[in-house]
Amino acid sequence: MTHNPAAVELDEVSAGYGDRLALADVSLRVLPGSLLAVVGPNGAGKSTLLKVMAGLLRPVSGRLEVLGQPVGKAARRVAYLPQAEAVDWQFPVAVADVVMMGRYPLIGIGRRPTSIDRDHVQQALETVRMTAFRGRQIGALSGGQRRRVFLARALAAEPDLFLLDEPVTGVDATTQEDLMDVLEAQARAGRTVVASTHDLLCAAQRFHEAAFINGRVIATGPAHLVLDQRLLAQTYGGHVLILQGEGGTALALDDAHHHDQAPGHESHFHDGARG
Amino acid sequence: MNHASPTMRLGRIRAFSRAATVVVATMALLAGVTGGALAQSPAASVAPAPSVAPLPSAGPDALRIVTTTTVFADIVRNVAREHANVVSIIPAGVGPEDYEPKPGDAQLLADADLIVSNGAGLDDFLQELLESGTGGQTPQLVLGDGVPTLMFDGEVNPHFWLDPSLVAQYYVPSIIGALSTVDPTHGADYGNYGSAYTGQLVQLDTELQAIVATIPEANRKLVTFHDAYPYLAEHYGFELVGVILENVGAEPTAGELAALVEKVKAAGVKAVFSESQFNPELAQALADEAGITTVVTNLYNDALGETEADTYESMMRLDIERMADALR
Repeated sequence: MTHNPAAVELDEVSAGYGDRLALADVSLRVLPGSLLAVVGPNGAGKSTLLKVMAGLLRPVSGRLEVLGQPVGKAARRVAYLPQAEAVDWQFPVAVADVVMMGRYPLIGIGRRPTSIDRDHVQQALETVRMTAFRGRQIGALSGGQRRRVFLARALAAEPDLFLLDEPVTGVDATTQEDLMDVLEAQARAGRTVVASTHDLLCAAQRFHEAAFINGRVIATGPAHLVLDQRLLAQTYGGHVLILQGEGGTALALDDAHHHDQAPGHESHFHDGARG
Repeated sequence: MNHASPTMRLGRIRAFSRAATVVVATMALLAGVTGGALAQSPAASVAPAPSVAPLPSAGPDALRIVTTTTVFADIVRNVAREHANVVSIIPAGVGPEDYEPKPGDAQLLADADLIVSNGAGLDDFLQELLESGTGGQTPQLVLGDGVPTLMFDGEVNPHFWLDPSLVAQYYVPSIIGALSTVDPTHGADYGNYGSAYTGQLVQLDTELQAIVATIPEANRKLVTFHDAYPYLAEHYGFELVGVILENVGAEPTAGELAALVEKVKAAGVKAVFSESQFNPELAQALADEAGITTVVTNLYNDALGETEADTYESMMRLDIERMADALR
């Protein structure tokens, strides 16, 4: 590695499930302290990319280093948050216990949590503004509250790298703002945040960097590029709709749609050509 | 009825107790004998436990985890799911107290990513195996460490897991912790699976409480073959009147047995319980002596069964159902 090691470095990485490659020849360098949004249409390989970085999916080919080590070696310093929909939360476990689970890899085999661990849990709950819910059952919380709790679990693990699959999808605006404030503070403190998102406005406004993915890396750069119409068209193909607002600001939606003739105020990009 | 003299009876009991110590090492041979007695037992009419969906099988990258007994293997499997292959050193149907290690056991331990035992004297053979072999470097989880203990007959009793609330409160969190430490990549999964399993155990406990509530309070008295049930008795409100073998391998003396007969009679115990891993005739002899007509010979505790009671949860259901059926 160089003297300035990346937090995550992928070199020609291909990965997928069975015979199907979800990602081909992805090369990507994420520097420490990044707040990186991974954007791209459904099925673009965003979740696959995060799973590869988390060591949950082994690449078919290519080289991959996480926190300066082969993937998996630094797993204790990595917090991965799967898409909320992937887990059934109907079991009777208290919020504080869920957050404590983030501490387990640090506690060690056969040891029970100490007051230091409990302090970290308390701090993490404060950070996500869920202290009042510490004794509540996780299944009784709203979707947004659960998202806060799972971010708290990630924080309690004191990771150097956060890998978050759609952390702000489907939550209310206040929760989204709060969660992004937390992630921004983590990045400012030198930790690295990589998060996939469908919300292009959030990606443009709240993240610092963006990676455009569609089976491969289309582009990487500063987050405001998310609203670059040419890049969007290239990344989303026929699935981008750009509305020209009153003040000239562009709103981009990742949404499949059908039409014969686009209304006058909308610019549609289909496979790179205006249609 | 032909009344044998107490002395004769006790002589017979002692002979069976000697047999029982051998039984532990040669369980497979005797499984048929036990099974035969089981078929006539009044508890054989108990409905089978509800079937549980099979756990997902583990892939080639999965952790290799070795446990001392089948009970712990099942509990660990529920927390690790697809991320581990879990193997028990002692097979189903065999108890750990007198287990004689086999030649392959040391290799099994040497190849493991994590070794799980109970401690508190239940599975001491493991330490001997580790000292003699190469598994000494492998991370080890001792499930009983830190669990509040009950003394039984002057010793710490190791059978914590027969109280599901202790499994939920102590075993499962320490398994989540150990798995997350050995394999932090899947730490979130272990937390989720372990929590889901905790939920199942809480539900199991509620079910078992409801079954125990159907036993008249005055009848909640246990006489069992070995000292497996102090935690279960404490949790579910049974009085533990006595055990036939206070230590597996140690024969009860004629005096001890005569005293037990008196205790059992005085307490008005309704049934005598023995376990599928032991020869049932000693329990039968005690029951005859004390004038008790109900003898249940097929409880499970130290080892899962091969055909029934093949998961921790189904074992607990079966035990409590059989106790309730015999004591109602």
